[in-house]
Amino acid sequence: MTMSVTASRPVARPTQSTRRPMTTALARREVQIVIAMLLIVGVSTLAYPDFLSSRVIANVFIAAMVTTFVSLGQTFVMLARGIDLSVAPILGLSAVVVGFAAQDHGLGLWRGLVLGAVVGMVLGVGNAVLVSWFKLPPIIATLGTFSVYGGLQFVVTGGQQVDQIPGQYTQYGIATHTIVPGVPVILLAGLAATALVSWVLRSTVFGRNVYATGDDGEAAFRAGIPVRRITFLAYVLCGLFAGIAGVVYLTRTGSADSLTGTQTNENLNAIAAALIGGTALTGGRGTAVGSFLGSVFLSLTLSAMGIAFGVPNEWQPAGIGVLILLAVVADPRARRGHALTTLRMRLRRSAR
Amino acid sequence: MSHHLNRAGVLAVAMAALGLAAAGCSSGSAASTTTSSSASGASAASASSTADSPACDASATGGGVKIASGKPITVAIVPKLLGLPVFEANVKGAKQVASSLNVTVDYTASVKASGADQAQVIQGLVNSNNPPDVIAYSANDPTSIVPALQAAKAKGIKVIGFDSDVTASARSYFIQDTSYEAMGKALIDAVVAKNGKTGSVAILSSTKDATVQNAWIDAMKSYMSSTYPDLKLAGIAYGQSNQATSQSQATNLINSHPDLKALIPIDGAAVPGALAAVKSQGLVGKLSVFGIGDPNPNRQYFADGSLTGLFLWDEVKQGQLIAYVARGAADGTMPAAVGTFVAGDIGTCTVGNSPAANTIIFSKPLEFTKENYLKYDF
Repeated sequence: MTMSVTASRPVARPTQSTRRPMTTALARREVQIVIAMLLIVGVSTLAYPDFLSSRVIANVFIAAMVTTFVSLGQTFVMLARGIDLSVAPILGLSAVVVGFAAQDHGLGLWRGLVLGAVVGMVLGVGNAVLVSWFKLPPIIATLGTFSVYGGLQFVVTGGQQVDQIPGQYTQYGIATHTIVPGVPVILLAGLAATALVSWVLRSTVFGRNVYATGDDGEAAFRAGIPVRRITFLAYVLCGLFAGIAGVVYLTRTGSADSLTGTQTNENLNAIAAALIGGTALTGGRGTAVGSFLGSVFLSLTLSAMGIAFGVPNEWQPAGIGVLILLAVVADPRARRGHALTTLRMRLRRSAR
Repeated sequence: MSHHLNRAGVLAVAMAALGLAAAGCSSGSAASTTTSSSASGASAASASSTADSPACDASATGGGVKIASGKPITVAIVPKLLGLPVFEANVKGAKQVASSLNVTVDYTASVKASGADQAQVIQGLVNSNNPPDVIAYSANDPTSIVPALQAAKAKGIKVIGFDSDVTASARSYFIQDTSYEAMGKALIDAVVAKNGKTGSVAILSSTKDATVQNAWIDAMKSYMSSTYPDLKLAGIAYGQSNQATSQSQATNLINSHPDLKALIPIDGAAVPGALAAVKSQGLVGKLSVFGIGDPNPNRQYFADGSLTGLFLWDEVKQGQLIAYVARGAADGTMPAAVGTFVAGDIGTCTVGNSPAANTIIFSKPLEFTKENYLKYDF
């Protein structure tokens, strides 16, 4: 980050210049999260011995999975220095479309998964066109589609609720449903998705280009990286993962309605998970594993608040907000980067 | 591209995300689209002070004024929002008896559960060229629609309420779903019948300010302390009328009270949420669930045995009563409180002054079981 702001600007080798320090820094953040989680588990177990039961721990993981999928998608966008504020209604639309198809027409799980992914991709293309083609600032574009997609969700449901999801779906939301003993199937799905995204980001040309685009778009462009296409694909992938998350939501809750996604603050949760996992809002820095750990961290914190310490759930949004701020404040590079940016802008303005 | 993003900066993005989340949160709790029982009616405040009037009873003899047909009238039924199965069932019931009462039923509402939107719908009815003779509402909140109802009254339109009330002075009659005490007693009796007189139970409600739910909670608490002192209330959690939130709250209740014997979800979203939690934790058969809600969203849980008891009332018959009371109100044949009237097959109903003025208690709690849930479609 520091490099990109100061020295690397005209240099056309973003991948090499950022890779090594980035990985070490992020490894540190991931280690930090794991240590913090162990501390939380320790304190919670002291306060309430049953906290360390397999049931509670399994639940912490499976309760995190919806957010895991959304934040994996969000990670692509944030790495490319964007943000998608419409993931909650994308999740919701996917959940109601797949939900009604499964409930009323017996759509099977695998086809449902494909349908959810397609719905998510189509809505992601909407965001991608606005940000990548029309060059709208991501906040404005996705704030607009947040409202559009949320409105469509109302239209699709017509006030009706999906509540008869076939057991073929809901069996996967159950903690005791396992293939590998002790590991819920839905957690395996989350781990597999994390591994896949991690591989794409680390080992494919596209993945490296996402980092380069977010780290310094101008340098990436001069280096011949198709910045617009990379940005476009990042939003499409974000939609895809939010769409899959909608199906995961169905397996977890067996229901969906006109406010699914929005009402449980999936926008906030996904961004929080990515930020806690070390993904920078300024782009170019972050990992899939971080986002996975971030979402589990959120779930663990909320479970600890509710189970071990009896904090009423009205405090949850405030708690998540504090965690976001802590995550950003605890990231010295994010702060320094921001301060430098401001300073540079000021210098430029005064020079004019 | 990078330039204006730099300017927007970290904080702006974070704040936008937070603001968006907050907006989602508040609009969410306003539109609690669950059952008619997820109400915030106004009538419950004085519930425990005096005994409620008896509910309508088909077997009661004696009777009172018999509501009969008359000149043709139109009744506009305006529930909290469109599309909710319980309200559809109300309308279906009203239409079943409409022709015998010479009543035309007009069903209209806003698409969102919002007091302001509902006020607009009612004002639109009042101002229309062809206003209805009677407006029957189920209010989203106790105050928002009061001015519109008063405008209706001033124009000679009779106003009656059902399910969720407003200030009593703004309407002629209110049909309360069921007696709060009777509902609290029915739930606790069901828990005791299944699990015995000892142990601990937990309640999952909608929101902290939901008047009807709070009246049920008070009724359960006082019945437990007076009749089953060894039955302990381990905790109360709030699912915000959202199934996913209800599920995570129920999971927390279960995990923070390992000795819990029964979970009592008392709102339309809380019941399937609690059941999903019990199922997800692998506790079907070990933890009983007794709730207040409509049977349709819970069919799978009746079938697999995780739902041990569910209470509500017959929404279709309640719709029939709406038509009868509308007819009586339009013709001025309704008795003054305290008095009785006969509403067809529903039987003898009482107009009483408890919990609020001119209140008709529709029904005793109706229990849905594995055996009978298929008979009801709401």
